[in-house]
Amino acid sequence: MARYIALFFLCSFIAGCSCPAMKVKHTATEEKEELLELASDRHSIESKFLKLTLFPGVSGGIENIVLKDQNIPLLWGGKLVQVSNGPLVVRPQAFGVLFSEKFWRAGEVISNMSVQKSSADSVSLYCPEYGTSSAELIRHITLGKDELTVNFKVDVKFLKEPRKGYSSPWLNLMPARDMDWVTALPGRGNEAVNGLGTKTYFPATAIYRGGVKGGGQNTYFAPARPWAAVSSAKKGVALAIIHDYPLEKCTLYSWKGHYEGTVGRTIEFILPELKLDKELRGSWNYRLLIFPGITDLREICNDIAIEYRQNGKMLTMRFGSVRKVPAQKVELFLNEKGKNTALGAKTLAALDAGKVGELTFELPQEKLSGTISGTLNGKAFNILPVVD
Amino acid sequence: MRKKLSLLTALLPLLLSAAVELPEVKISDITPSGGYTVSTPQGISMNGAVYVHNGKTKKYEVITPGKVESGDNTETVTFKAGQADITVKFSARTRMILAELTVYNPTDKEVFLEPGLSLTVPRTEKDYFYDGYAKFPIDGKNRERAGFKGGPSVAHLAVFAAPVSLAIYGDSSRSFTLGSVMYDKYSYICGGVNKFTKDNANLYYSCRTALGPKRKTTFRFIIGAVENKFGWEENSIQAMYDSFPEKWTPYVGQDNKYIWYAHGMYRAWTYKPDYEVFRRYFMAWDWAYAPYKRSGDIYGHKELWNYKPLLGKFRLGYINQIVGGEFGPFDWNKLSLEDFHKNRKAVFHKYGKKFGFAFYPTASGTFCDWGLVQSNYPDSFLPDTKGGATAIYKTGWTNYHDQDARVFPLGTSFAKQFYKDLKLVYDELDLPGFSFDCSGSGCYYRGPAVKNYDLPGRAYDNEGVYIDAGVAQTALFEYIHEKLDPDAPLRERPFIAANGTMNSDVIMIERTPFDRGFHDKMPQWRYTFGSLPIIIHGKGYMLPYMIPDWRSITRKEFLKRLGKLMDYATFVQFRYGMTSSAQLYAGNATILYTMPELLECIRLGWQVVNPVACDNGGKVMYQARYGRKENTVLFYGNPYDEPMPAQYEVSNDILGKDVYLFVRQMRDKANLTNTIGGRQTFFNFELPSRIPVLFEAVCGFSSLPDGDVDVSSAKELNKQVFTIKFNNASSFTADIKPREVRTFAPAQVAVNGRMVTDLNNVEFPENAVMTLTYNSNDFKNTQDEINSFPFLNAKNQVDFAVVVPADADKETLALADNFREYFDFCVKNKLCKAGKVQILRSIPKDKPYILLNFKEKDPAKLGVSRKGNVLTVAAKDSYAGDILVRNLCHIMDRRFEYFFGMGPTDGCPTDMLEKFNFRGKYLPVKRCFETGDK
Repeated sequence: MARYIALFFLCSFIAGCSCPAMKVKHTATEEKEELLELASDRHSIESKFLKLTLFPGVSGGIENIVLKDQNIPLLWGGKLVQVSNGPLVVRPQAFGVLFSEKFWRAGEVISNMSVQKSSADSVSLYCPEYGTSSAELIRHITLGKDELTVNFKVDVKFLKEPRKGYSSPWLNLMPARDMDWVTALPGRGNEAVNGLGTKTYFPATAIYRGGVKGGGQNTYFAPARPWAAVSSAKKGVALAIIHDYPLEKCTLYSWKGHYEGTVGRTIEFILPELKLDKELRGSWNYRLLIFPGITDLREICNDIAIEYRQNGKMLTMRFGSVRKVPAQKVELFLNEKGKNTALGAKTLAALDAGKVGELTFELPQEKLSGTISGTLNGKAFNILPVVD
Repeated sequence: MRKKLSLLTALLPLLLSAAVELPEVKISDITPSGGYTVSTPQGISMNGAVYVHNGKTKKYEVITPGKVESGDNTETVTFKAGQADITVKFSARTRMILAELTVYNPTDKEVFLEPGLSLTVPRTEKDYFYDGYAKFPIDGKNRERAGFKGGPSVAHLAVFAAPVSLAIYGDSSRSFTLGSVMYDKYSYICGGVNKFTKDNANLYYSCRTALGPKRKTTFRFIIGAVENKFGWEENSIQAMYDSFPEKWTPYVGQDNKYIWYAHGMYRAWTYKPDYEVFRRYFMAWDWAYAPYKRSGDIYGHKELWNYKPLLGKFRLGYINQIVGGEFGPFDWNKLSLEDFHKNRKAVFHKYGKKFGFAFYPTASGTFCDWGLVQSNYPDSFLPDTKGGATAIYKTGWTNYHDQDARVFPLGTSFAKQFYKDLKLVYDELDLPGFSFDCSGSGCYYRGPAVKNYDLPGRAYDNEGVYIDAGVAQTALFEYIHEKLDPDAPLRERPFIAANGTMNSDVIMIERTPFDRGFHDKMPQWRYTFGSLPIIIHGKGYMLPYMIPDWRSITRKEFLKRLGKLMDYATFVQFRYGMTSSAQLYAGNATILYTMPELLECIRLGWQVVNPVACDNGGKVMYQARYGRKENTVLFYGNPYDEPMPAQYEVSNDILGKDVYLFVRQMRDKANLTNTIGGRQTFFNFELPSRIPVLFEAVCGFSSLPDGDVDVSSAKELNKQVFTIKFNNASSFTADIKPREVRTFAPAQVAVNGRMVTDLNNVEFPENAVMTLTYNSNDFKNTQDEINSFPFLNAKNQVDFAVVVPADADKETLALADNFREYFDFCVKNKLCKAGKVQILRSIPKDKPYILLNFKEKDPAKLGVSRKGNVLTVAAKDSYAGDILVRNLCHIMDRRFEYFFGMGPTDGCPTDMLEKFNFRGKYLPVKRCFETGDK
């Protein structure tokens, strides 16, 4: 073939010998980045309220969780693509942000998980060699029955002693785009977060929105609560990630950046290094709570989201529940300059899953200069101030 | 009569108008008030003018016409702009007009002046503007880039990337350029385009000076017009390279023994140095990172030694592991000042020159402990954070325990001390060079020192007078090159490696090609660096990122994908003329195999325009051009698994003034049929899959008849012969320019067997055959003759001697020891059996020996030659001897071949290597520069 081309070239040369008629067309191109979506099997589970879709072959990454009755996708989502820079640099990439199990410090790996067990509302995914940490890993996901919860339990068996940081579960959640989310990152003040490549001090214990001065795009917090949340007034829903680990051993992390041309901000927890048995087995669990009707989540107590709205002296407390709960006794206090003023005790009517109940209290003055605390069926809650 | 008068009027300017003329651009009709006409051979004529804007009155200065004087292809105009005296000298610089504009302030007050050039350029439909960072389509909006703060994609750590100092307007067929000579000491440059009409636009370029009373300063502006035959802005940038090559030529020159090789990426600095490992990786220098206790006190002064760092405790960091900890940890909690100096000196004196330790001087003389700044150098602080720069690194940087604050190392109290300290460390440590970090522009110093009218680069903006950080960097480079060791030959002056965008001797890019950040910066950064050598300092293949599903794939699939990434790394090195480190070399035998050719390309100098049209059916292809004229080398890479047939058309007029012939560059032999058509050279070639292919120019001819020319090469270590067979039906004459082959004597030229001594008007009879024969200056024997030297005895054991003169100096003895280290490496890696390399001062009777002579005066005896069992290595001094021994060892490597296997690196985790059983292994070498035929 090459000879024919050479012959053709020579012929064209002879034909065009009255130079400079002979011209070679410039057609070679430089490499450029190209994306191609790759097919990857999806697996879905469903409850009365939620539909969850994931890609077992892409580290079991959750593509999305949809609030069924309003058809609201809650996560950023993603897909498997092939990224190429010419024929030599071709790699699969989880494009977007799929919600999968990760370990802090360990690089991300696309692990091929298989569905080990599944039912209508639960799935167990298995991978014999998961992630850079090199571990046998099973991810159990269960949608709460008659609840707006997603429950995660992860069992892991490391194939060898993991390096420092390589066994710290990293819950890395990117809420959906175009929701105008308000972020609630409860951070402890005056406390350093060490050992994560940075050291951050925040002046006060508060709910940070993420735009902390000097914090830049990446922000580490000593967490003040075991949860982090986002609320959308635009869509009327809040989403929280919550765990049961000691706060002093956890780090709350948030990262803001441009994803596919849109700004997004993560809510993330870095859990403590796992306690492993002799066979290097360990496990962890956490949950996602979804609160329809909640638009500025400020506290979570007994899996009930709490927020408030103030109108003059009137303070309307709003309570959203992920499951059906009986009537609750609510006591409320105003904390001002070290003084607690009781605002009253009332009964919150029984709530259905996904519904919001309201109670109204009167403030001593129109200007709310302190913080609100209270009890919900005897369990204390304390609404942190907000730092934008 | 009237007709005659009007004819005379029309001719008068032509008759009287002197001009500065180049083949591509001419400037003429220079008026006493600074007006001019720029014209091109394509018949385009544009009016332009010199203007001066007053930064205090915010008005353009009124020009009082002066006079124009003509010289030898120069035109000089002098006039007054307001009260300032302006002189502009126009002269020719290869492809561009140089306009040296001198401003003199005769007043008793400081003035703010912004002199500039303008040009009314013709508009076309699809026009564009290149602002020094990026190209923009013209959409009727004014475009301007000013200052050194950089574009959003080029912010770099503590500083910003310098722009290409050009403002280019054009379309796909041509470009017009105004600019300034890059890396001159300016703090404000501005280029833009505005005043759009249907037919014209105004292209302008200016520089600012805050000029003290009775002071003068000179700006070097440039004017260009080029045809856009290959690419867009690339053509103007190439014209700038061609016109000012000295700006992209390493100061320490071709004979420096460090900068033309790869760097160690801490392989020698942090770990126990191993010369053979270093050399076989083609490494010759290393980043000697932060060898000081206190940021801002690089020397280690008694009065600054005892202090409490602002971050609380002293930390050890890298310093703990210097040269593998051989001289103990530099534990600042315990180390006395005396022991610090003693130990650091021991490190550098033992390894510094052998491993090219480039001293890291607190970034680039730009960081100082914040406490020290406040107590000793308050005038030196550079607090500018505009654009995203950081002024104080509160959690530390260079030494982990100081809060590094940015300082300005020019004209300040810190600068005074820092310049002294550079001399102190240079002398105490016998340094081969310096490594600068964050060496760039874009941070503006406005402290007390700017009041000194005599500092260079004083400019102004709305906040007052300032000097850009880049000016201080350039001044530092000049000091290091010119003042630290002024009596040393250029090759032995301290070299400067810089991470940043200033024009040092060698540039660092802190990104691997597998990092998206690399592609964000390229090719723009390469445009800035021109033909300077570049090294990549990055995390290798980033395999968990590049093969993110590695847990799920087979070994076969892993090796297939790894092979592609490795070939890509090889191509990127040739594409951009850069070397890397073990992070990319371990496991990649082919990239190491190709290093000798790559290093030669880098010496020739990367060029932005490769003037070759190539029809390959629109497929992706990697390409680059190195060198100019008859010393051109073209690189091509086919990334596909199948061969790629392609046709090539070389536009010789862009390479130089002659018609050039090419042959594939191979180590043994090659041939290629060139077809000449007018001034163009054509050839066909089928690019093999995934190997670099080089075409070397062989010779330039003032002209050649159209037709086929067969070019072939036959190479040996000691001799290269190029044969050119013309198929000319009738005789012709031409001036010829044979290419230069580095380390070889100039070509011996013969036509039809008859020697040619005068290379002008050479006669070529019908069907002439010309040969160019080059004899090596370095090697007098063939590779087989050198490598058949009996280094080993019959039992395959090392068994020879190295003989040094009876009065051998320590350098000679050290180089003799290199042979012992060479075979220690071979034995360790099972390339031969253990034996002995004896180092003797007298000739042995019973064994082969290498004779070292590094005081040879007779040029004819220089080099490596073998006679029986004696291998003589002769150089005029030990510096040249070092290079010769290194080159000899690289030849010996072809007999004692070794490729490094892959080990765990930043870019490759241990788990992955173990899963795929690839630890210590490498992919098969592709011997792409040898035919394999004997």
